[in-house]
Amino acid sequence: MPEDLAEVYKTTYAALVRFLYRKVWDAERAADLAQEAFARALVHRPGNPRGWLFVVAANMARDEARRAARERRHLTLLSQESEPEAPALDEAISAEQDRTRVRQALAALTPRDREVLLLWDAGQSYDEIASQTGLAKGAIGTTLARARRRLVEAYEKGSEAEHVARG
Amino acid sequence: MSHVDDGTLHAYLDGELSPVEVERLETHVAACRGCRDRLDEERALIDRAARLLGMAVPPGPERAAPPLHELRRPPPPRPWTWSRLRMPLAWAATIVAAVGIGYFAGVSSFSIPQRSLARTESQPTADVAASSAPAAGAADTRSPVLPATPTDDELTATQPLGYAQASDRLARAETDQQRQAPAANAAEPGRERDQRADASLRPSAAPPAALPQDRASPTLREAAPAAAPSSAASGVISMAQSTTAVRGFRDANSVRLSTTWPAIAAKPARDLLGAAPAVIPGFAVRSMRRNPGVKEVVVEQEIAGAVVSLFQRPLGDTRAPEEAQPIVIDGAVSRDSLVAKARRNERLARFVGSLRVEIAGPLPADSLSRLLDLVRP
Repeated sequence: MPEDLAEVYKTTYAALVRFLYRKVWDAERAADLAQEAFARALVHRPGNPRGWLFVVAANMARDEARRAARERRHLTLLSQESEPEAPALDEAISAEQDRTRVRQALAALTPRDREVLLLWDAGQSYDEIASQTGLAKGAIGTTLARARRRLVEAYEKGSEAEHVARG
Repeated sequence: MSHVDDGTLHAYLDGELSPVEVERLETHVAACRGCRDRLDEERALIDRAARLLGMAVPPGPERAAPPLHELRRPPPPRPWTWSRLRMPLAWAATIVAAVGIGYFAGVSSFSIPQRSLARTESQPTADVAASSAPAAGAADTRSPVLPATPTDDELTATQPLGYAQASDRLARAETDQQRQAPAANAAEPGRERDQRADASLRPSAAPPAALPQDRASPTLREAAPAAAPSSAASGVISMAQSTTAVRGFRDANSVRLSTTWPAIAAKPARDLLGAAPAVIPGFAVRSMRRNPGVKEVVVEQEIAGAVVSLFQRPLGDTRAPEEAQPIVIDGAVSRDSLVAKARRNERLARFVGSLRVEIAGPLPADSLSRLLDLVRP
């Protein structure tokens, strides 16, 4: 019997938004895409909504990334004349820096490692990750071990570089 | 048993090993110091990675998730309730109001002379009666009937003559609207009067001197609108006007049709003004034009995509730029509105060196005012 979509929505929506945010790095867009994924689930009524949702979300994020790449030139042009940054609290600035560093660290991972890590962090089980990525279940632990190690290393390397640059 | 690989350690720590695998691993770790240490390291690594990912979350408060059923496409019809009706009703009311205002604005701007005449004729108010009504009667007998000209056509036709007329008319339309507003609910009788006025109007080129009554303003010499039963469809009352009144009429925000003025180079402009034209420093000058009638130059500068016009004329030149232009004016404009307009006008004009500079452009008044402060000789 298929899981009740309403229940999945309750338990998985926030995780799906986070999952998407770490791909598109835009909170509004991430929420939009998550809602779009659920809207599609309402139409398709998949047997395994949770897994289905993450697959659909990952695909949408990939399309989004392609589109973003096409628009990057334009965005670069825009950012050159962007408005001066609004004065933010130190806390907000620091949180933003953290986000940026994690984002850069995630970018240092291979796409497969990153995908597995993000799916795990979104609450997916090894079984679910395996079925969504096509990896053997036995390979998930190894992939996660590598992904975590690289993430931490890349993050610390980035921070070090920043400190060196500052000092 | 061999040592445990990283993948299995992570799977163990993630709780993803089967009970059999868990038991096997724990047995080994209990006996293997190295694997125990590694287990601790991997646990720390997993914590660290999770914390890092925890920093990569959307900033600010999370957007609340809409109810799932609202994501359905197309949205399912909800029961009709009053709360659901309120919004559309509010919108409908807004649209009705907008259309209504547009209608009245349209009516009053296209039939300004007629409406005010109708007023004079059939519903004289104190100020109108004082200045215009008797003159209307007088003009009745002496004004020749001119060829009928629709107001809007006339407006277009006279555009090249000078901005003064057009801006004047805008101001007049505004005034007329203000005056018409209280009578809005008497729209039907008003229209009837309009039709009557249409039929009874005759344009008049009565000179200011022909007006004995000019109590509205000592400086404003108005020609009275001439009204008489006639077959002329509609008409416009032309009249000359004194400087002060004209300046009062000119709203700084109104359209001045300077685009028809001939372009002028910087040097002749300086000669004309007796000083270098004032500009807002740091912005490109798009063009300079001169008033074909009098000593006035407009400098057009592009600011943030908008074209801002700096109208300027020599301080010593007492003649207003409009003086050279024939003025079309409503016969019954209250003095108060003139004063108010004059004040507003002053606010957006400034003396820069030996020039009086007036600013106009498609920007909010406070922006224009700030830009005006930046103007330098």
